[in-house]
Order: sequence, then structure tokens, then C-alpha cells
Amino acid sequence: MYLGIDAGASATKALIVDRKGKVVSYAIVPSGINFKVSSQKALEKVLKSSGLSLKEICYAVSTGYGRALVKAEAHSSEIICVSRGIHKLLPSVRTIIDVGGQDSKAIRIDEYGRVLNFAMNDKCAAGTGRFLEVMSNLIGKSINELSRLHHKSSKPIRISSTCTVFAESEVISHISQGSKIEDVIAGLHQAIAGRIFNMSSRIGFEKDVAFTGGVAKNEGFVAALSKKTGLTPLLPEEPQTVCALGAALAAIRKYEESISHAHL
Amino acid sequence: MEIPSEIRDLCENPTAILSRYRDSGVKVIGYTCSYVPEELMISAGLQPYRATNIRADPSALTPSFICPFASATLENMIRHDDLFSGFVVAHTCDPMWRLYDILKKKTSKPLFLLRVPHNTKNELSLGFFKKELVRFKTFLEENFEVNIDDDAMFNSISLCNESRDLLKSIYMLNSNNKHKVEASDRFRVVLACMWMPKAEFNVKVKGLNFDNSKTLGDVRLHVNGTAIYESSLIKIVEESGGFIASDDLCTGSRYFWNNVEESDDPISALSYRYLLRTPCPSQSPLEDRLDYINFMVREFQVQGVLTFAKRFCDPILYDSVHIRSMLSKNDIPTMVIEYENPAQEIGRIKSRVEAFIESVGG
Repeated sequence: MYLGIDAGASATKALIVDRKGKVVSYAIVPSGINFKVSSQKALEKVLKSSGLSLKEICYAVSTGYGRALVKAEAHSSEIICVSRGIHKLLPSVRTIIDVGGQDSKAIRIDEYGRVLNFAMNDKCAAGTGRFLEVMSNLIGKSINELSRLHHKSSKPIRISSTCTVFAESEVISHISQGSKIEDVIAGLHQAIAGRIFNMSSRIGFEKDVAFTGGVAKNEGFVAALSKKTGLTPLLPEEPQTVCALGAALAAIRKYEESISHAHL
Repeated sequence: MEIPSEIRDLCENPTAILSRYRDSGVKVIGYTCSYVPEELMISAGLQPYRATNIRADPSALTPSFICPFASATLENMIRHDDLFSGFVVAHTCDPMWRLYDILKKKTSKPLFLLRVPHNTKNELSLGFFKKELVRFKTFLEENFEVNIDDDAMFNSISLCNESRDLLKSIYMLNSNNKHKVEASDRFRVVLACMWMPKAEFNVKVKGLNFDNSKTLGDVRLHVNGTAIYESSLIKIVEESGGFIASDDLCTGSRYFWNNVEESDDPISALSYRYLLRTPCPSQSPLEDRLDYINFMVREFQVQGVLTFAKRFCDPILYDSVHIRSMLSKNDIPTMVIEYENPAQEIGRIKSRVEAFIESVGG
């Protein structure tokens, strides 16, 4: 069995695959402030749900923002891991739009799942899951509710500021002027979609396009981004663990390499 | 072979050498970029010292939307004002020009603004720059009460040419797909040349043998960008599996690539060398810079080009679009990484560099 751990800025994901790359089990836990703790928790959870013991894991690869702090045999960048993961799940994909807690990225890959080009957001929360988290706290609705309420909106508000801090005060003024909460939510989704569209346009949208990362679980955001790009995206069953899957697949490859080196 | 610890320490804290100069009675003149001819300062009996942003935060005297490199360099110059005998600022990009304006108000030391023409490749510019160099020479003579004669200039030109030859010979060890010098070692040696006395530097570096150094990364890259003094950036590339085969940095090959002709007319020779040397993104015509990068990419057989752009570094960012489109025709991938202070954003930079190197290396 092979383990991939994706220590993301917001959530830590652990995923186990078998020798053939088939997903055995996965677990998602909040990252908190200590990646060592969160990765240990995710590992315990995934071992428990799969009924496996640590001894049965041949090789582990870590990825994500906190990858260097996670106990693993090797680590790999999240760009490469997301690409490998999506290629395994949806081989027709050539462009990935991945929106996580702190990073958003657009990646172009070839027919073998190799990275051709990528673009990433700057060190700024606008256009990431963090932006939505801040806003959901502000308006007192959970992230799950954002998704549901988005579709009730008939007249989304327009957020002109791309900065999370300034957008926050813009949202407050909209609410105090009596805008409907669903229109505010739809406006927020449109703002983040617009930001990601601009970033992704730098590398282009070759079909098929897939959305991944935790934010791709938010249907309101997916609808806004689909509308903005004019594309019908492919969505993996569990968009949040694609990167961890890529890391687990890298673990198989690295384990086999280490075995063949040992025989040389 | 390991580079001497003296050079290593100097790169971590270059201002330490300023106290050494003061204690031994050496007059130091701080200058901002590789357009300022060190030869003239040396012929005036001064020790040139390239001002840097190392160990300084951007100055509170500049707005937050100005290049943090220029701003932190200003901060260092003001903070160590008492260790300098004078300053020279080259009028290149806009922030450098602003830096001059602020320094003018903050220093009591002689300060010179060297105007560098934007179109570097014509007779008009060469004539103009020659006059600027005469003006610079007069500034040095008047403020430091020396007479700079031709012989003094011949000597300093020959001394600096020797340093440049040494740096270039180390650099060429990596040409044609060879991998003999680690980028971080080479980077430190180039920086040391901007801070140490040239004669001392030449003796020290002549004895170095780089032929069998350790091997870190193996994906061959060309690096360009804003003047880099932070060895941590070079280290990130090496630790991510990259090998910086070549560069066109102001703190890299641009500093030493061309020599000054040792002719009867030293001022003309200097003006030719400094205007026609490796193109600078802020001053040179774009085509010259593209040609040079193309040449380096071929000569050093690089697989990808990495640009480190300091936040708000317009010349680098504008050029990067043209560089990308030129290199994509030859299937050479490029990546621009915008940064502010590497010490505070290592994780963010590393994610991008690693992903780029992994994708270039296949």
C-alpha cells in the first residue's frame, strides 16, 4: 500500500492506494497551525478507515504547503501531484483549475499528465478558499450554505475590489444597504471566479477542463466559474483529494525506483 | 573545492568589510549598479563598494509601491552613511532616480548622479556617456582632491580586466553542457568581487580550483531578474533539483562579461565597454537583450529560463513577456516568480520553483 499526504493551508488530506493505483481509502482533517499534528491525525484516520496498519505502507510522499514538515520518504510539489492525480482519474483533461485554501492555480498538462505550463496566484488571499472563508464568517453562513444559497440569487451584487480586506468592507456596505444575502453570496462567487479566470487566461483553457481543490466542492463557485469561462468542467468525485492521490501515485513510482536501484 | 570562508562570510554580511576599510584608512565610495565604472573610482584611490539590500528592510522614506530592492538599498546607504566617503547613483530605472533624490537630502557625503542613456547603441549615446564619465572623473578629482591621470586609469582598467577574466573563466567551466561549478559558489565569488579590493580578490580567486565540486541539481537553467544579492534564492533553485548554468543578472554575468579595451583613450574605452556590454532590461533595446539570452541559452545548453522579479520591477516584468514568447518558439519553458523578501516567503517561492524544475526535467 502507498500513501499520499497533502498538507494544504486549510485541510490536510491522506490517501492510500494499492499497487495498481486504486484508491483504498482517504481522510480529510483541518490543518490548523501544526502540519505535523494534522498529518498524523489524517494518517491515523485513513489507517483506521482502511483497516490497515502503518507497517503495510511501503512508501509515502508528501505534498502541499506543509510538505516539508510531514514525515514521508519523499515530497513533491502540489502542481505535479494535482496533474498526476487528475490524469489518473480523468485522462482526457488538459487544463486543471485548482482552488485551495491559500493557493489557486491553473495547470496545462499533456496527454501523459506531464505539466506543460502553470500559473499561480500571488501571495494574496483574493481568489482562494480563504477569501470565501473570511466572507462566510462575515455573513454568518457556513461554506456549505454558500453553495445552496448561490442558486437562489436573481441579482448578484458586484464586488469591485479584488482585495479580501477591501471586499469585506464592500460586502458590509451592501448588506447594510439591504442587499439580499443570496445576491451577496453569488456576487462573491463571481468575484473569485473573475479573479481565477484572469489568472488562468495566461495559460489558456485547452479542453477538457477540470476543477479541483476544496473550493471545487462549492457548487455556487463552480457555476460562477463555468459561466465566466463558458466551459463545462469535469469534476472528480472528490475534488479535494486529487493532489493527495497524485502524491500516492508518486509513492508507487518512487518505491519501484528504489527497488530497482537496490537490485542494480 | 570549497570557496574560502572569507568570501562566504562576506556575502552573508558585506557591510562588515566597511568597518575593516574604515579601520585601515581606506576611503569607500558606494555605488548602485553595474553601469558605474569601478575603474574610475579605483584610479581615484577609492575602494568601490556595491550598495545592496542585504540585511535591510525597505526604507520608511519611500512609498510601499516602489521597488523594495531600491528602497532597501537606500536604507542600507543611509544606515551606514558614516562608513562611506561618497556615493554614486546611476540613473537607470525610475526607483534609482528616486533613491538619488532622497539620498541627496539624507547624506552629507559627496553624491554623484551618473546619467546613463537609454538607447545604448548609437554614436549620440556614446558621445553623451563619454561626457558623463569626464564629469564623473572631475567629481572624483574635486571631492577627493586627487588627480586621475591616464596611467592611473590604465592600471585600474588592467586590474579590473583581470578580475573579469577570472570570473569569466570560472563561468565558462559550465558551458557546453558541462557542470563543474555550483551556482551558489560562483554567485558568491562574483559578489565578493564587488566588495573586496580587486588586487586581493584576484590573488585569492586565482588559487581556486572548481574542477571537481559536488553536484546538486541537474536540470540546466538560465536565471535572470532584478539584481539578486540573496543567496537563499540560488539555494532554493539548487535544492529543488535545478542547476543554474547561466544568467544575465546585474550581479552575475552582466557585471563581468565584457572587458575594457586597453587603448590610449581610457575614457572612450570605458564609455564603449559600459554602454555596449551585456544588455540591461532598464536601459538596452529589447532586441539586444533577447539576442543575448538566446546566445546564453545555446552556449550553456539550458532547458528552462527562470526569472526572479522583485515586486514592482517593471523593466524585468515587461521584458519577461517578450522573452517567454521568443523562447517558446524553441520549446524552452519559462517561469516568472515575483517576490519581495525571500527570507519571509521561502515556502511560496519553493513551491513554484520545484514545480517548474520538475516540469522542465520531465
